[in-house]
Amino acid sequence: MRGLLDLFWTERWQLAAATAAHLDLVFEALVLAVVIGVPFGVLAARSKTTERIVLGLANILQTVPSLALLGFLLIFFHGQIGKPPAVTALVVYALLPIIKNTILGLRSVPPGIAEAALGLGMTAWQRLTIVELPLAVPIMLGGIRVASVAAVGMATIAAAIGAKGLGTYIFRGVSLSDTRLILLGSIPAALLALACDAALGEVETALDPTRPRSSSLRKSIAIMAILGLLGAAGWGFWNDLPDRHRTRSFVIGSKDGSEMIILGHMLADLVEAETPLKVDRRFNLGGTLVCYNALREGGLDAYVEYTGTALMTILKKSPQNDPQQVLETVRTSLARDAGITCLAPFGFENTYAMIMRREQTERLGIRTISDVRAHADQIRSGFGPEFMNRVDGYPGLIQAYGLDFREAPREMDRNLLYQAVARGSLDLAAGDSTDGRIASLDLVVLTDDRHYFPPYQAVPFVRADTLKRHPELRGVLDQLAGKIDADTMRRLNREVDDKHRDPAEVAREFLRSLGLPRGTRRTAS
Amino acid sequence: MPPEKTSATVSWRDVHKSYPNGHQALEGINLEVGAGECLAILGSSGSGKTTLLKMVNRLVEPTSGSILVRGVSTSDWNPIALRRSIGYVIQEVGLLPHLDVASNVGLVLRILGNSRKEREAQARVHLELVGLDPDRFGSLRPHQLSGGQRQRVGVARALSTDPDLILMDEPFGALDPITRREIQDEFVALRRRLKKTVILVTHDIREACRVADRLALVHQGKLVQQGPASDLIFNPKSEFVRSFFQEADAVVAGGPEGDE
Repeated sequence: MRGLLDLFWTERWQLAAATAAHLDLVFEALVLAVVIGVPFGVLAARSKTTERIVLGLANILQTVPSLALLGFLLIFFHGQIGKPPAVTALVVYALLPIIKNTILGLRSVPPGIAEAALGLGMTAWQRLTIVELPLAVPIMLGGIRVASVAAVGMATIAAAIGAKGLGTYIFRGVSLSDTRLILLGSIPAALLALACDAALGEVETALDPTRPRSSSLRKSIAIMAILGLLGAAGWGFWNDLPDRHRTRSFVIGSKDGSEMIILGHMLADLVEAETPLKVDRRFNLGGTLVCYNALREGGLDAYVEYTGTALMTILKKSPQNDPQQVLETVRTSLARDAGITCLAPFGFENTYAMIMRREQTERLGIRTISDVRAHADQIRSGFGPEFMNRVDGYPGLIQAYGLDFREAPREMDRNLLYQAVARGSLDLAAGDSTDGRIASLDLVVLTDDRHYFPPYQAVPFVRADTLKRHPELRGVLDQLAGKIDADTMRRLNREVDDKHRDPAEVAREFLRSLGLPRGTRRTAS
Repeated sequence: MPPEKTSATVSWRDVHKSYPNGHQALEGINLEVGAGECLAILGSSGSGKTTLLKMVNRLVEPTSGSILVRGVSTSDWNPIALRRSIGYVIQEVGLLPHLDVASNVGLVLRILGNSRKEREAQARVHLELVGLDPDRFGSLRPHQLSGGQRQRVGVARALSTDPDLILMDEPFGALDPITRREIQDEFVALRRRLKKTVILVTHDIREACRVADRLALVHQGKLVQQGPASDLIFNPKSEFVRSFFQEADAVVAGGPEGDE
């Protein structure tokens, strides 16, 4: 708890900015959803057929899993990460309650009033604008209220595609196994949801002429809360504006996981210190395809990728065992087809590592992956979504080793796997061989006795046209080539995973030990 | 049917109404309302009396036959224009809860496109006409009024454009007996002053007798008898009329109220 308060205090301004950015996402999404949803609701309320069609579509959109939707929108927006796809996703989810309540509101006009409106000689438009819509407003607001609470929650997931907001803390916390960071993001998010709910509830009461007025104290609190929420959203909006007007910054992304974040910070620090470019760090993006698409389409300028992942997930080629050959294949294909330059590898190899609790391996006498076969009927396994679906992941693994788990493997966030194994809720999982948590949680890496997992080298991927525009970047980014071996990487990972140190700090410290960044323009970031 | 020449404000000509489910709501109704006259259409619930009324402002269309309003068949009227030319008062009153009393009275003028100033002036005039102080009541919301006050506002709204014809569908049905009586009396006085043609639908014999010049008794979709109240009471054409007015004897003799 004490650690949480300390962290809160050091992060207070960034946290405030993240909260504002969060509200900005929610607010923009709600405005758009109302602008789109209300006309559709009005149309749908006219007849049962249109209602079925409109509600059917909104329902389908609602059931699209959020990460799938974000992934699709990322491609739809040509790899642009951040606000546009995030807001669009929130709009998609907000539509259903808004349309539904618009229909409900319009249909709830008391028959006597509807008859009077008709009998007085109102046109259809007059009935809609003078009678039906004003009477529907309290119910429509109820829909907006539901949508706003859902959007506050949903907006945290938007961090997966680089949208700023409280989700960045949650994702960082999950990826670094740091509960404090998760709380730092989720507590304000929960409070925001409650605040939106209460504030809109007050508006609902105030707009319903038949309900008793709230006390003036309550009213002024509500008004202040709404102004506060709007003001924060406005601040978030303002913060997000300048990017377009200033010189374009160099955007460095990273996948989730301590290793990727540490390496991302190193590259970012170097560029920041040794070039005049402004650096925008968008870390913890949701997976290989998010980063790759963003890089190819120009949403990112650089991120660190593993050659093996690029070979199989991006290029969809079959696994190869020679690291050098993998690098060459990836380098040539990406340069030719995607306008992406692979710089020199950092110097360590990372591969999938099958991990178990030490105590269990000793008890069962398991040392290699082949040894697992004899116990496959009692072993509970779990893997990250990417591993489950890669050819060089789960499908190939059970084939290569003839494994036949009785229980279907659990699919969960790969950053949670280490803890799950250590605590005994899983027995076997696929981790990263360089992950610091393997040592710190007393886990054991099973020997890949059939050499199933090819070694992956970590390499900075950079957009070719960014390098062309700023030729000096290559020299800056290449400074880490061959400087980080597997032991070093594991040690740095442990600093973050085990000792809960700030990855930015760990990165800076390591750079300093190499005498980097060069030059006098040193700035603390 | 070629419109015959008529001085009547409203006339029903051989009007039939049947619904797709086979229900015969009205059968061969012929009825006229003269200018300045107040006709009460009387009948029990389900008799077809409200259907008859709603045909006048085209809320319901006849299956066959025609309704002439001011000599023109309703099918030749633009329904919006027709409705705007007729005052309409219903039992539920139908005041808009989100507008204040003055705006509710000015509502018809608003949909006709009159200026705010004009609307406010007319609202004042007509609120006074129905006995409500515009300064006290004008800015209140409908839910802050009593049932009787709401019904007065409904009447003021119907009068706001000074129409020659007013339709009233059970206008006083939801009021308590004392208030109802009070408003009925006021209404009679008001009508004498303004000389409007009024068609009133009610199931309350006492109300029909008190307010209308002439009654039309409808039963199971047919017009059973029409004429002044005394005709129906003392010269009933059929057993049904007699039995229907038997209660009325008690009513006229001052029997207990509360037939709701």
